[in-house]
Amino acid sequence: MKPEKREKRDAAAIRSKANSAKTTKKDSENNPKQTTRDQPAGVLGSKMDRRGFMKTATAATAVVGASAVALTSIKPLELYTSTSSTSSNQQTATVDPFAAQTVTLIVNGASYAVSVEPRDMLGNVLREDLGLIGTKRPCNRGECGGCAVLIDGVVHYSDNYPAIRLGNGQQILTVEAGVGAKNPDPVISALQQAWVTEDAGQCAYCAPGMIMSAAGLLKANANPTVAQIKAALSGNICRCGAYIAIIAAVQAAATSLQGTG
Amino acid sequence: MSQSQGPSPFTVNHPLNLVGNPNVLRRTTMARITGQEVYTADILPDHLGVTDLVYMGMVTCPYPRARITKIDVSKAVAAGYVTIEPSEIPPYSMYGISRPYSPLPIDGLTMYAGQPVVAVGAMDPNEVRDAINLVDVEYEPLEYVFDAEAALQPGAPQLWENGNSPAASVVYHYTPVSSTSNIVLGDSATALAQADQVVTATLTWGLVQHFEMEPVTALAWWTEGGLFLYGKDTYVHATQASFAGYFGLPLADVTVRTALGGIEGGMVCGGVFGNSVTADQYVLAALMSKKAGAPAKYTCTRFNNALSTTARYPVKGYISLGATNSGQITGMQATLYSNAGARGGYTGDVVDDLYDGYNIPNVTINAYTANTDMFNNAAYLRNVGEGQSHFILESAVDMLAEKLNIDPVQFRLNNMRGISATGALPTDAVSGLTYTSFGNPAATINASAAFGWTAAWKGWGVPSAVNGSIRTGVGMAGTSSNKGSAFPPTSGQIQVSPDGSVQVFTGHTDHGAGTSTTLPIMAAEALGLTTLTNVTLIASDTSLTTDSSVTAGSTSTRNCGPSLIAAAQDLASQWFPIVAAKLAAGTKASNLAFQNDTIYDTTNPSNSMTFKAAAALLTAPLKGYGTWNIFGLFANATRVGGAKFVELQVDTDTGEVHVTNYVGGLGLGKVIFAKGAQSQAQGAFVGMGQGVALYEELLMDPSTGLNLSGSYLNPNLLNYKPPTIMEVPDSAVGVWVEQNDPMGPYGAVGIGEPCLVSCEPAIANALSNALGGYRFTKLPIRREDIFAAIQWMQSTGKL
Repeated sequence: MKPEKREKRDAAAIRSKANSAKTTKKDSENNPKQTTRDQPAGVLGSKMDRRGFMKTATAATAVVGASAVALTSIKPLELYTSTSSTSSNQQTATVDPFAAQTVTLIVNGASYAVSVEPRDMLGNVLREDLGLIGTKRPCNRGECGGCAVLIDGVVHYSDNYPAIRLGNGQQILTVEAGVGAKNPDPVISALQQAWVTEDAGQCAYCAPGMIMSAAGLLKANANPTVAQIKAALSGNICRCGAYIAIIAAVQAAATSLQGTG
Repeated sequence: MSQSQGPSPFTVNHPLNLVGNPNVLRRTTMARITGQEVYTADILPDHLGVTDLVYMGMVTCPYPRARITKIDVSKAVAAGYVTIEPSEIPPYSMYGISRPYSPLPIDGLTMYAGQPVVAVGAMDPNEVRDAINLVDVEYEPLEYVFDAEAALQPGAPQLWENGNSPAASVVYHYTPVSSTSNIVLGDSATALAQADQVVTATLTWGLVQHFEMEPVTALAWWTEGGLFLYGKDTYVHATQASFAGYFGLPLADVTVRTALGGIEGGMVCGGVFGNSVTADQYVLAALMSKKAGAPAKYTCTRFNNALSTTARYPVKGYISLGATNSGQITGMQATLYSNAGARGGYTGDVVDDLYDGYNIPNVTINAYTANTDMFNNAAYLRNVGEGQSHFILESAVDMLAEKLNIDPVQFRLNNMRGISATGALPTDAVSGLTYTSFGNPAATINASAAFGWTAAWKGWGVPSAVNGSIRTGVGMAGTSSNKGSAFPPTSGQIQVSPDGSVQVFTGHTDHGAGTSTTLPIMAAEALGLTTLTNVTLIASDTSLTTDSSVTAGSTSTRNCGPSLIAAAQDLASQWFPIVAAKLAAGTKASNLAFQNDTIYDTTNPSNSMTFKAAAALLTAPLKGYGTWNIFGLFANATRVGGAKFVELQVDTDTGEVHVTNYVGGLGLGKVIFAKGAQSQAQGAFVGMGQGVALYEELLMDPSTGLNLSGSYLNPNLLNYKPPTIMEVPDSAVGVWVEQNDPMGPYGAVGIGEPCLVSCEPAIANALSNALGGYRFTKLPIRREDIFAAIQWMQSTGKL
């Protein structure tokens, strides 16, 4: 008896169903989650399940770049803003804040069209949908920094960042953009090399978050002081206590990046 | 199997290239930091080649103790989720747990806040919370007990039918320890009565969580080929045996792997420190997988990880210590109460570290263990009770030295057990076993010099420096850890392939301590290799490896090393005849040896062949097998001795503490993985010692009548704060005195845990020195405790 597998709730499909059934308003107000969850899968149309989707997205990656043929075009999110987008009371009432939308994430230079619910945090999407497990989720809620990624060059905790807000061309970078990538990011790569030589990772489960926090620092400040390094990494917890080596690794990476110009 | 009759499994005959080489880097780091290596918590359906994976969560009890009056899963089931209720758990007896075992409440009674009551499964990780919300459970809260001493008093709420004192009598290490352990040496009452000076103190240690970074994870998968378990597991071979028994399966039908196991290059744990996956998580995942017909994965949330795994147990110690005016300790009496949580039994080593580090002729120790409603199960944060016992002992020793006005280092050296002037090793005071290495006093003397103790120490209660509101103090504490030895069984294999690549097999895993580098170093050294380039490790996978006992207690080096050296010898005995036939006519296989990436004739060194060329002679991979009997369970006793030295600054305006210098001195055997050893020494102090001493405690509201009554206040990484990079000391190093331990591979002993032991009392003693002699007797010493002490000392004119 497997748990039932559901399609992601698609906002348009749900709205269409809601429009044809006036009682939905009350139901969805009382228990919006239950109402949408109880819909037969057929109502949601021919959307692929997330696993199938993931494989398609991966295949599309091979041809990346501007070839967005197979990818859904980016639509601005209507959730929570419905009153200004329409004068129809009925439509206002039927906007489901839990419904999924397809967004195009640009991760490490590759585009992925992913169906995400508003409650899907980026960290979860990176790992579960895109298979990019380099980003860790040690605490699931942005307390330890293990989920740090760069979004347009700025450090963000991916466990606290709704993926549904990221379909507008933002560039997301993870540790997979470093050593081993086709066109490796020089800063991330330099940090990874330094992590090895300075022995800055013991169990290393914190290291991806540390490295991305440090990458955000070095991209903004090529020659940071120790105090600046500490401040930049103060939200990242390393239980093995490798902090001394971590500071040394960030310094070594900064030095090697300056050496290469 | 080469052993006993053959060459020594502890050493090789050639100069060492890799062992102790400071240039050897940790092998695994790059794979772990680029998303290549899959930790257990990272396993996705794609890694298993499936499309469906059941994600699990727990409905947990908010009360420390309650009777369940209603469980209704109908809404969750109607919504398509799968649930497991307590009634669905087959009764079971779990190794090491003396109580009836179930991961869910037994007889409708919960025993700690956060205890899982119903397990739920959903196909989407997002929906786990939905499923939990659809389960209705009602409770009748019951009277509870948190304090171990109180739990043993008449009239205390009883957790178990046969009382709160666990019946377990676990013989472990050198001392038989049971729930009530009494050790009597000489006549402590007379000794204390006749002592010139006696100190009496009560010292307590709070509830500490491991908060390792990778959450505890279990993944179970029933297939036609049997049951597959993937877990953050430190002893896959024991798990295999346990679950074969649990489900009535042949051993071969249960496969257990740490993460994805050796075959995929997995096997890593994202930090353990004593908190690995246990039957609690495996049983629920296995039953869920069976019921759902798909693999099921339970990754603890941080909340679950904090409350329903294990925790380092609180200990309260009453101690009296007496000495002569000339500085000889004459007697000790100690009464200890260890809090084993609801289901723990063993809190053993809290005892033997009390009496075996110093020569104390008259000792009485009464140690009690109690079950309480405080937390799930007692476990170990990078040592078993040694942190607690060292805090109790080393605080008392410091107070006694102060009373006698003797330099704390000198006082400890006066009384320290150690290697005699003639090189004789001490014996365990109770068991009579002779140690194969000891560490002290050399390690303490060495660390004292490295720290610059003589210049820094200005006297009792006299800070090294005062600069405005900043007072600088120094302190130290002795270390005498019984860790780092071996624990049977041990075995390992080495395989050479025709392309010259080498595969090393072990049942151990890598917590992050560096096992996946240390073991390849020991194996490659035994093969005379000079680099690890072509060496890979296959580990912690019951389908590929053999039982090498549990990866715990700092045992990896000594458990696995000798069997790997023996495996290299077994490999040579099969391989050298093939090589000899291709060397100069008349070459005897028995004269061949490994060295510097070659196999050469010891009677004619120029008669040689490169390792790679010799491998190419093989038509198929060749495997050498090694096992090692430990010559009786405890015959390889080690005591990793040393001392920890701390210099810190206290701001008397704010109570803020900043460590300026730390030196961790240990006497150990030969260092195998030099970079890793230094990282452990630094990390133990920076990441844990400081935290346990100054910041960390799982807090509860012990009052009644409030919603939070009995519940934890900080089961997360926001409010339970381990040290961050902001707390990094100005300097922190480990310094070694290397001694050749004849029972260790290449002379080595393990140091993972000894690196942490006694960091906490060293900090407490340094704080006392900075603050005019004020003594802190409870850990953690929080900022508000320090500030209150400063205010009290100032108000009484002592500061």
